[in-house]
Amino acid sequence: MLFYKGWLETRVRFILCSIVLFVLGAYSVVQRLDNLRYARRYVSYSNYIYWETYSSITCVVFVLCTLLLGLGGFLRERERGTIAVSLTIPVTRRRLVLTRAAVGLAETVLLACIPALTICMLSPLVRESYPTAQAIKFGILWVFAGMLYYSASFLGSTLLPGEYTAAAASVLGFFVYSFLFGRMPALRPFNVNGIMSAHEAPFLDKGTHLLIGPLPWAPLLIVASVAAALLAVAVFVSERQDY
Amino acid sequence: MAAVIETRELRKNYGTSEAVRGLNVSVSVGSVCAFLGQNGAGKSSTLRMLLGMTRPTSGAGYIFGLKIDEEQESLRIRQRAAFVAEDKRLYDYMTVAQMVRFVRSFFPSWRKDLERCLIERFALPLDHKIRNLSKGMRTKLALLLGFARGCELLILDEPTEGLDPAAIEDVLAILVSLVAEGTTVFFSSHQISEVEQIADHVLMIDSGRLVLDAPMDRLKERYRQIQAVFPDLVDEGDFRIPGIEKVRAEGHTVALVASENIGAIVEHVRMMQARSVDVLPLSLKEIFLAKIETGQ
Repeated sequence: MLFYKGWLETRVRFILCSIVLFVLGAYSVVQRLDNLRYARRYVSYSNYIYWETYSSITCVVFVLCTLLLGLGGFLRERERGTIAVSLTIPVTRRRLVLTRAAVGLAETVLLACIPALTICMLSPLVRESYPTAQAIKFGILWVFAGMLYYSASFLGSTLLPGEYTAAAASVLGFFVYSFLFGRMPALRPFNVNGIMSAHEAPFLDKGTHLLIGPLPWAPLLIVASVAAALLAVAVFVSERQDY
Repeated sequence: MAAVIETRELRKNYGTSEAVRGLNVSVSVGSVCAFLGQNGAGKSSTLRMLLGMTRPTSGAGYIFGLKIDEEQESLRIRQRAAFVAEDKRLYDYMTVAQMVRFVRSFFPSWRKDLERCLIERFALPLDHKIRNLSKGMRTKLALLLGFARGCELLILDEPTEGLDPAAIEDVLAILVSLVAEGTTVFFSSHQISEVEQIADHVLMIDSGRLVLDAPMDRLKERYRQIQAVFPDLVDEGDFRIPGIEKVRAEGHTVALVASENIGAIVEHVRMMQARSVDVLPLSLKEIFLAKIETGQ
C-alpha cells in the first residue's frame, strides 16, 4: 500500500510530465515535415533527431520533470498537516522514504523512455526510421541522469521546509550546476548533462550523431552511486528529524 | 494498576524554548485519561513524543513498557496504539475508500465491523476525494481510521473538534463502548464538558509542567469553592492557608478555591468574622481555570 500511496501522490505530476515529454517528442518528429526546407542543416534524420530531442529543450524539460517528481516527503507532509498519518502507521521512516524514492525512480525511468519510444513509434509517419537500439541507448543515458536529478531534488525536499522552497532551490540548483559545469573546462567531466546528451563524448559519432560502441558504464555507475548516496543522506536525515 | 503510558522527567526543547519540562505521568490500563491544558501548554508536543514523531530532549517515555524513542520499539507501539491528530488532515489526493483501504492494510486487527458501522453512522461518501470533504466529515473519517484499528490504546488530540453536537455524542458513545471492550483512551480536549462526561482521570499541564494528576471522582470530591461575605473589606493576603489554590477578593466578598483542608479553611474564614460562608462544589472547568491561573 505504500507504493500505492506513492503512486497516488505523484500520479498527476507524472502524467503531466509524460504528456509534455510525449508532445515534445512527437513535435520533433512531425516538425520534420516543416523542416525539410532546412534539410541542409542536418546530414541525416538521426542527426536531426539528436539536435531536436537529445540535445534540445526536451533534455531540460526532462530534468525539470525529474526535479518535480522528487518534491514531497515528510517536510511537505508536515506543511500540509498529514505527517501524523504517515508517521503513526506501524512502518519505519526508512521504509516510508525508500518506498517513495522507489516509486519516483520508477517514474523517472518511464519518463526517460517516453521521448525515445515516441520517436521510434512516430518516425514511420514521416517516412523515416530511427534505430531502436539508439533510442534505448539514449534512454539509458537519460535514466541515469534522471536518477541523479531526482535524488538531488528528493534530498532538497528532505532538507528544505516550505511548499515551494525545495522546488525553487532544485530548479535554481539545476541551472547554476548546468552553467558552472557546462562552462568551466575543469568541471566539464563531471557534467551530467554532457553524459545525458553525449555531447562531445567519444562514443558519439560527430557526423551521424549516433551512439557508437558501448555506453560509458563507468561514469554511469558513478552517477548512480552519487544518486544512491543522495538518497542515503535523505534517509539518514529523515530518520533523525523531528516532525 | 499497570501503566500503559509512563513518562519520567520527559523534556522537549525547541531551540531555547522549553515546550515540555520534566513531565511525569502515568496512564493506567483501561482508563479514559484526559490531558488538559491551554494552547501551547505542551500537550501536542507530549503526544508527538509519545508517538515517535519528535524525540525527547531528555527524560524517558514508555508505552506498553516500550521506549518511545527507540525506532523498533516505537514501531511496536504504533502497531498497538492509534493516534488521531488535532487538525485531522488526511491525504487529500485519496478518496475516502482509498484512505480506509490504505490505513487498514497496516493493522491485522482492523475491525471491519466497526468500519462498516461508522461509515454508515457518519454517512461517509466512499467515492469522494478527501480534499472535497468538509472539516466535520474529515474529522469523522480520521476518527474512523483511529477507532477501527482495533488498538489497545487510543491517543486522541481534540477528537471532537469541528463536529456538530449530535456527532459529538456519537463519538463519545463509541469511545465509551471501546473502553468497555478494554481500550485505554488518552485524549486532549478543550471541551471540558466532554471531559467531565467520559474521563475517569485528569492530567493538567501548564507551561510544560504537570499541575494536576487526579482521578475525576476524587477531583470533584476534593475541590470546593468557599464564598464568604465579611462586614469589612478584606485582603487576599489574609488567606494564605495550605489547601487554598486561588483567592479572589472583591469588596466585602471573597471567593476561595480549595483543594484540601476544607474544614480548617472554613473555620479560619468563620474566625475572621465572616457574615456568611458557603461551601460549593466546583465544576471541572472552574478547577481548570483555577489551576491555570495559579500556574501563571
